[in-house]
Amino acid sequence: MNKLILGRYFPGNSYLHHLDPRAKLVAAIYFIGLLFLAENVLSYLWLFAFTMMLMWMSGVSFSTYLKGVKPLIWLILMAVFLRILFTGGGTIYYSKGPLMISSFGLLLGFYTFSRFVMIIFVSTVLTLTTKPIDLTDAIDALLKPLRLLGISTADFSLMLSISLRFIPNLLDETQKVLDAQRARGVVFGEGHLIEQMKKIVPLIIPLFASSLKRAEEMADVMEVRGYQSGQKRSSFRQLKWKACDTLSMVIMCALTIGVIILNHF
Amino acid sequence: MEQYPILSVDNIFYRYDLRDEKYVLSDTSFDVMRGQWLAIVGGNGSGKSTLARLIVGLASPESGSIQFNQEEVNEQNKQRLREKIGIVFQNPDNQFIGTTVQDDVAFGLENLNIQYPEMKQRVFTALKQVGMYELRDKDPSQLSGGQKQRVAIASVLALKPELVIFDEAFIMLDPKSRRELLKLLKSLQKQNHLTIISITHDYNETVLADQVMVLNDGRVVDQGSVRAVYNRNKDLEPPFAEQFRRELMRKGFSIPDHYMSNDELVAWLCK
Repeated sequence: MNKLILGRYFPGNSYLHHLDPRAKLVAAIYFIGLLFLAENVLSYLWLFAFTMMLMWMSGVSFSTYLKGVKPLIWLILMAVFLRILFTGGGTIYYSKGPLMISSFGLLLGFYTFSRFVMIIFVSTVLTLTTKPIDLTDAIDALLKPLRLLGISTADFSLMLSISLRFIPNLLDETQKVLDAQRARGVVFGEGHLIEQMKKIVPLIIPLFASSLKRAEEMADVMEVRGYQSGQKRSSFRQLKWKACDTLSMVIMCALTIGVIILNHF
Repeated sequence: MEQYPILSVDNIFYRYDLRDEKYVLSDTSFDVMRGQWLAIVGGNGSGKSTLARLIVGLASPESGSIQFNQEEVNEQNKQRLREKIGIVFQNPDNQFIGTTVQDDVAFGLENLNIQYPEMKQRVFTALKQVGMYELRDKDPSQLSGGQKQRVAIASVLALKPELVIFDEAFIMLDPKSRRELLKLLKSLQKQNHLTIISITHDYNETVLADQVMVLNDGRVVDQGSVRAVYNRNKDLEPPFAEQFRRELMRKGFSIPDHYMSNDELVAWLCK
């Protein structure tokens, strides 16, 4: 659990930390789209440079970002090798049956690799510099148009924020149950696979039971504090769009123009 | 001030399951006047918490009625009536809805669709009242049980209710902060005519109440002023001063044989 870098927030005071979460979320999604617009090595390098700059601006060490890529590296490498081995065209260096290594294949392999890595880097920059709750607000704000279709987006974002709020509680509780079972003589992480899986059962059941009980109590509390699904609510957390947020949007446009120009070289 | 009671519980019967023979509450009736502090005491399983749930409309009695401001609490109006009734439960962890202290206090206000400037002011006032203002940006994992309990109390106070029910809400607090909060509630009761129902195990807490109600096995056994209830029920574990008085009497001191408050006891001892 602690190994996962993607999705974690690092408190800090950088320019990126102060941007409006909506601006960051839109920019990150836009950037991922932009990755598919790049057509040659130059434009990829251009986007790479931009990603590096973001990572440097976030004030978080480069090794942290590498840790974010690590759990996914085999998936990425597999995608890259498939690309290399099954793409023909250009100069062919080696071929056997349907497999071949060609200059086109190598190039596409490089593109695939860059796309994956940049998607991870940029989304890591987003989550490292934005509090989960701010991100929830941003998602809520972006989903607002759906309200016109009668979909209750407020319920969805409340659900998200409550889940986020209970992650530490659930971890705590898991630890407690784990300790309680250990005190009763269960040894975790020993024996063959089936045995280990069996030991998880007395862990899961108390956790489920307590989660259900907690959910029921919380529902009561929410009800007595006047929560009603689909009812109009005001919001205590206020998002403020500042000049620097507009500036970041302008930068994204400039980045796009750069990609379009570089695509012609 | 109005003459009718703010809360009137009339002959209610309640059981969790219709197949159960035994009622959790049977033939329970009592009135609470506006601005009064009623303490409900009773052992485990005496139906105290169930009573609280019935008052806020989380459950409905099988027969009998509960009236708040002369209006019967039912499915249709409970949402509206609840804007005036607050309740603080026992477990502070499961009462924390927001991600931070101030978000949690704001939750109820957001539900009432109160606009930001007023909401902010009410959240801050409530947090200052319970002494949690400095910790307003903290998330629940950084707080102790007592601090979470204070937040739960602030969340209810921010809603400016007319009646607040505390369902064993003070157990997580250390003695000092418990005294402080009880003092705060007493002053809110005096100044804002807040009506308080406190359900408690702690007999020392009943000293501040105007009325004490003893619940046993789902029935109201006794109700009256603190003085009267402790005079009549010698088997009830009394507050500290009364305990002390009874002990003195047992040791053969010629102390008056009736309930004495802290001040009275001190006055008598200093004579």
